[in-house]
Amino acid sequence: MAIASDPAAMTEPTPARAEGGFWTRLDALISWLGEGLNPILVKETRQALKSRQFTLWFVLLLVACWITTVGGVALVGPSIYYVSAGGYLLRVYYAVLLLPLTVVIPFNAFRSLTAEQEENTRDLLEVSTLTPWQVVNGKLGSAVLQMLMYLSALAPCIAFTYLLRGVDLLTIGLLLLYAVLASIGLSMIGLLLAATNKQRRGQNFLAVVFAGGLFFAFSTIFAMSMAAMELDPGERSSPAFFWIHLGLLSLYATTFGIVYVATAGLCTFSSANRSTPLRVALVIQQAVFIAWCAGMIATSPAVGDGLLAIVFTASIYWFVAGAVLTSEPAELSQRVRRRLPQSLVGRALFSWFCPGPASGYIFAITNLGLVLLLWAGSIIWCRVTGSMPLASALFIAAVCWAYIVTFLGLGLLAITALRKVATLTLLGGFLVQVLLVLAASGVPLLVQVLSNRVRLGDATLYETTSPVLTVMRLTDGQLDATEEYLVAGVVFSAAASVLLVCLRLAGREAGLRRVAKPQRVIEDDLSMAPAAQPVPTNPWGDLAVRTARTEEREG
Amino acid sequence: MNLSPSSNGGPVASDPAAWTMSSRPAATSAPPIELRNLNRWFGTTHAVDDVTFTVGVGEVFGYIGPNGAGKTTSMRILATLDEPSSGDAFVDGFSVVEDPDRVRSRLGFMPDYYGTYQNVNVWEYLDFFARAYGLRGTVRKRALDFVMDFTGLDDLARKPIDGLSKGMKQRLCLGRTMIHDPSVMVLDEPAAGLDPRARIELREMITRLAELGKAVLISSHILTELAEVCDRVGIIELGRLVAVGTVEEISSRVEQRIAVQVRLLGEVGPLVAWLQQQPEIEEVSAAEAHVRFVQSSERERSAEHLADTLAGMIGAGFRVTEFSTKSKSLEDVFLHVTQGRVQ
Ligand SMILES: Nc1ncnc2c1ncn2[C@@H]1O[C@H](COP(=O)(O)OP(=O)(O)O)[C@@H](O)[C@H]1O
Ligand SMILES: [Mg+2]
Repeated sequence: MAIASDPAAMTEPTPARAEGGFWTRLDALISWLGEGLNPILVKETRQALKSRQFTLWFVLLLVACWITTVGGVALVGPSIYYVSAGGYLLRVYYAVLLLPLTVVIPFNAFRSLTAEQEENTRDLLEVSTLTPWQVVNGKLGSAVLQMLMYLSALAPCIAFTYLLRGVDLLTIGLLLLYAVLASIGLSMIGLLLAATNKQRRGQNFLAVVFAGGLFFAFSTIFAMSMAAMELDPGERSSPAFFWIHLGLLSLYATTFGIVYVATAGLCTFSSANRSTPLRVALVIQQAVFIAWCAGMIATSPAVGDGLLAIVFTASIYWFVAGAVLTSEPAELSQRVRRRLPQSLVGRALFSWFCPGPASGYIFAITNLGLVLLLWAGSIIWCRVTGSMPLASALFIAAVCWAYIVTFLGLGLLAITALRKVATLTLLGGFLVQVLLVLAASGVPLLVQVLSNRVRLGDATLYETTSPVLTVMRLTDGQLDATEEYLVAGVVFSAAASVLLVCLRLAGREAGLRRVAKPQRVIEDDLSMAPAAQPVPTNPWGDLAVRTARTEEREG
Repeated sequence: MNLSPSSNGGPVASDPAAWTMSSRPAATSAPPIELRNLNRWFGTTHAVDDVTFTVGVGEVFGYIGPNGAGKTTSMRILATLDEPSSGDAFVDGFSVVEDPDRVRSRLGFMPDYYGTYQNVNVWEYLDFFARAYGLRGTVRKRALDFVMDFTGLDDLARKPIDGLSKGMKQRLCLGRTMIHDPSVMVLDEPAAGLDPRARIELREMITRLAELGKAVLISSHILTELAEVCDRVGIIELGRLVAVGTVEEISSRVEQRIAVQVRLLGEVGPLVAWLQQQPEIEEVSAAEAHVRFVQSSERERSAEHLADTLAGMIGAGFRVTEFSTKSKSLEDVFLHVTQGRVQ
């Protein structure tokens, strides 16, 4: 048998270990490090090192840098000693770096996941015990690794620009930060896109669209980075500059979290709880949003006219999130039901983090309600209302909430009804929600067209079906008091009635009892952790929020 | 290739448990594979129609049916890659719908396509899947050594997998399927397109897997391909399981139809006329000096019946020089059990 006769043959791929001493130890160190690494990362690194495409891009990058350097130095000539040519060269280097970072790497990430589908290896990954998180981390990790290679190749050139004077370290650091974040974020989006499309049909189309989007992103990011570079040093060290960056960074980080969780969810089997992690990510983003808004309201009295922007942003955000959540499959799998919160408090607080369309509806509208309440509280507390009377601002916020409650609720009912006769996917449900809003917004237009023939006394009643139009009218103060009462009456009563119907659905969902784990699963848990202590029961009920983490540990 | 690791007596070979990633609890009462009223619809196509069967420890179960019968669909459901429209399947007692993660660590699935990566050699390919199944350190090394030896791939460790022959690719896939020492192996048409030698080697490997205590579900559209390795077979057609049992059981359950050839001195015409008057004798045909016919009867009484027919012939004055029977082949069984319909 080969194993016994030649144990070294299979152990490691490089023949460098025969030297003994140092090499053996280095090798042991590398394989020890390699053990903990993500399997996909290991495989893709091995592939990339053999791949011509990677070598080609890498050599191209180096050649471009050399040409730039030599050309730049030749152009500037002897004056290099006193002209600050650094900024000019940095721009060229940055373009050279940004192209692979924002186009090649994200596209590779997208392709590496779609190629798994084409080569039929996606199934093989799926039947393995890799968790979806490991798959996403591995793909993302190899994007990061490629990025590091490109960065290290360009590092000497960038250091060279610093030596040439004309750029400061802060600029260089910021530019690199933009490039790195853009690269990782776009790669993540590429993975999400690849994960959404499990059929092979739309894949080429999607690839072309994505590549186009990447080139667009490349030019946008380049232009914006250059604009940031143009700022004079005074502006760049101002507090506003810092706060804007911090705000953008927190937006980036929380959005990244949502996309990451969504991608992993798309790679998971359908009986798993894919919704709770997403809902937690949404709540985190909302908390960050609230913190920024509160900070803005408290610190800058000039925020005035931006106040309603907060309301609109939150409303649109929760409409989109709610449209996705209300399209979730209605049937909770047995697996999810094993972990439903049991105690009364647990159910009241955490049922809404559990999967299910009606719970998603309640989740979205309570979150929006929460933002708007906090918003109302802080503007009352800080007495900032801008040009608008306080009452009007509060009224508009309430109308926005009522619209979201009504439309998401109607959408939920439509989806529930449609599911009785046909199968509706997540995307299908989302489209139902969007179409409903579009249809309702079209009603005033229709009435306007018809009203030439049909004499209608008051068009406002019809206009209330269109949330955008109504809220615009309210904001501009175009409605008189009676019309405002009319709007309030229609919108609030619609919201109340829809909410009542949907609460029944939600109550049914929250009323679902936990089911016992199958005997075989309990046996298996015991055999996996024979010495495990019994977990003390949580007085708050079992936190549904933990489901994701526990499930991951299980997997 | 050395198909028998036990010949060397290495630690891996003599103790299969050393290759496992985790010590499993003692066998539970649950069968390794159970399909329970499994149904799968694709639109209006009923691809799997209420299929129920179990496979025991160390058993090789042949899943036989014509193309489009629903073998791949049910195997994909068992491998957690698809979901049943109703019913459920269990691996080691775990539902494939509710606990796919637990199923996955116990099951090795070999689809009817290869699934290869570019720029990867044999060793790296197996190493990747070993890592993907969570094997670490020495356990992974042992598993790799065992599997490379088992499949006879050790000489090809550094060969890029794109350049492998079909037979070698098939072995590589089998190696990938067994890398985590699953207790259940599901192989979809593994013998398709292999040359006879590779097919024999594959059969040997499957037999050895069963000896290691694995439950093996293996599909084919050719019964003879599997008859020797399978402890039991299930014949599926149009998504429905039409017969389950050992090959002998199935062939005995079907009505016996025995082909008989008779040679005699003199004219064959009168014998043909005589035979056509006998009950339970069909398909009478005559050639120069011999007559062929098919006699159908219950299995228990078939020998008696044949003797009666022969005695009758001689009694009627025919001078029989040869009377030979040809018992039913497996292909005949298969053709008889299935209707040849497709959807
Ligand atoms: N993804 C699918 N979509 C629609 N029909 C399918 C799909 N997969 C299989 N079928 C249909 O289900 C039936 C069974 O197919 P399959 O399980 O592949 O058969 P087998 O493996 O026995 O040849 C066939 O009629 C096939 O057309
Ligand atoms: Mg098939």
